[in-house]
Amino acid sequence: MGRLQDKIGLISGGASGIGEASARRFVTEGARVVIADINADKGRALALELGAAANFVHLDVTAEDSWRAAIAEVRRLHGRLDILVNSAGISVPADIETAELAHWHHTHKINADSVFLGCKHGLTLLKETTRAGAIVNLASTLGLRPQPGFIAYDSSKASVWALTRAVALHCCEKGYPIRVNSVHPGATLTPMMQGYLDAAPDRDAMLTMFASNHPMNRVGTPQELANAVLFLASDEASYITGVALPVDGGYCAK
Amino acid sequence: MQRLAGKVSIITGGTAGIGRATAVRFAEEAAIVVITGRNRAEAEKTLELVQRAGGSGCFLEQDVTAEAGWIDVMHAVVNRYGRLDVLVNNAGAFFVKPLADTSLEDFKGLWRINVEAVFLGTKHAMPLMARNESGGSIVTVASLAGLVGLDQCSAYCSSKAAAIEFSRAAAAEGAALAHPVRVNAVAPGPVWTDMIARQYGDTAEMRNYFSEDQPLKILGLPADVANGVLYLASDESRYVTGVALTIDGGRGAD
Repeated sequence: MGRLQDKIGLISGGASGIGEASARRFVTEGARVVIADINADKGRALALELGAAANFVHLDVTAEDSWRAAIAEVRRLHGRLDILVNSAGISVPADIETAELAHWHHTHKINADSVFLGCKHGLTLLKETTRAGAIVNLASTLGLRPQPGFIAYDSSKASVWALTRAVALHCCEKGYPIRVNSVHPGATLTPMMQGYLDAAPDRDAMLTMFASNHPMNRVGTPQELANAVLFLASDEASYITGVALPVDGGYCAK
Repeated sequence: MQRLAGKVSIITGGTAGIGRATAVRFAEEAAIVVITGRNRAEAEKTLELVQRAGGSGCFLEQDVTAEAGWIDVMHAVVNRYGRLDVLVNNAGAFFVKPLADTSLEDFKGLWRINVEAVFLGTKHAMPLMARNESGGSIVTVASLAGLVGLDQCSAYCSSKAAAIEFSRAAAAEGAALAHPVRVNAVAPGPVWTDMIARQYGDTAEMRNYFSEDQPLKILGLPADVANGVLYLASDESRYVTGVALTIDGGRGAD
């Protein structure tokens, strides 16, 4: 028996990074997953690779109609939803003096509006169909410990944290059997970070800098983050809701 | 399953409640379980459950507040099993008393077992674990009471806050080792344990009170905490250190 045996999971940003690792981990634990992503080529390829346990649905996380369509597709495919993972996100550096309002809005749209919409529309199917449901939102250590060079990202991830707790309490108040928690990755070796490294004049120096911010002196892997998502999504965490779990090599403790 | 396969684990206070549930959960995941405590008869019962779960282990009599006892336990474990991978600082004490009625001895007594024992265990376990290629994991069973204030529990709350902060600081030292030793805490909220039943009386009214005392409105059980300890003890959380994982039915988020 897998730890997510026969559960239905929808994973936004499921085609790459922590979303992709979560999709892979979920399938090994007996879940069926719907990979939702704006990158159709990567998403379809991953669904194909994972076989009968996976489907792909196109999703623009910032568009409400797109969420409606994705949830409708999950309903058509499986008639049910047990787990929603909100993993899609972006990170672009800028501080309070250099950040343009457009950058601020864009970051919040992709990192925070997305989770708002995901929770809002995910709940419509979750509350109707699951007996033991879970939402896991990918926030960031920077949502708990902001860095000045990432002002919009900090704020958008703090929003995810607050939203997570509020939705957790809402589900309790309404008596929905749905837990809601956030995972807070430190620097993690995802395509997002790969982008930074590729753009850096000295890749190794950049990676060393990322690593040295964390007491364990290394960056995390998507698999390590997926393990945390799995734990919170599974029934092993059935008494855990409204929690922020850092997976960060000790970053938030220092 | 095999999530702790071959890992030599010490669980203090493994004679009841959360300690017993953790011992059984660890055994199910193929750990070697060393239970320490003062009550041999209860420890034998735990060991029987461990064996029934397919695991193996032993009992060592220990007063966790005595340093000499810790040194003896570490020697005994290394002599018998050759290594130490996991320490669960679970032994704890609790009382409810108005401040005016709390004697200095009451206060110190609680701190000895809830704080000093955690210090001693962590101090003596860390160098042993650092010898392992795979490092080690220390999990302290603190309490949500270390993060929020409970009426007439000032000694207990302050001791659990100290245990959490101790873990966060010790995590930095563990992270810097060549073979990292992770140090985390779990912070259970209302959980129906033997300790609680003794304190308040095992009545239907009390169980009902505990079921209603958090947003999820279910009775938190030692097994819920054991699952959190398992996650933090296992290699699945190898990038997690310095966190306090609340397991509280959402009470801390409220």
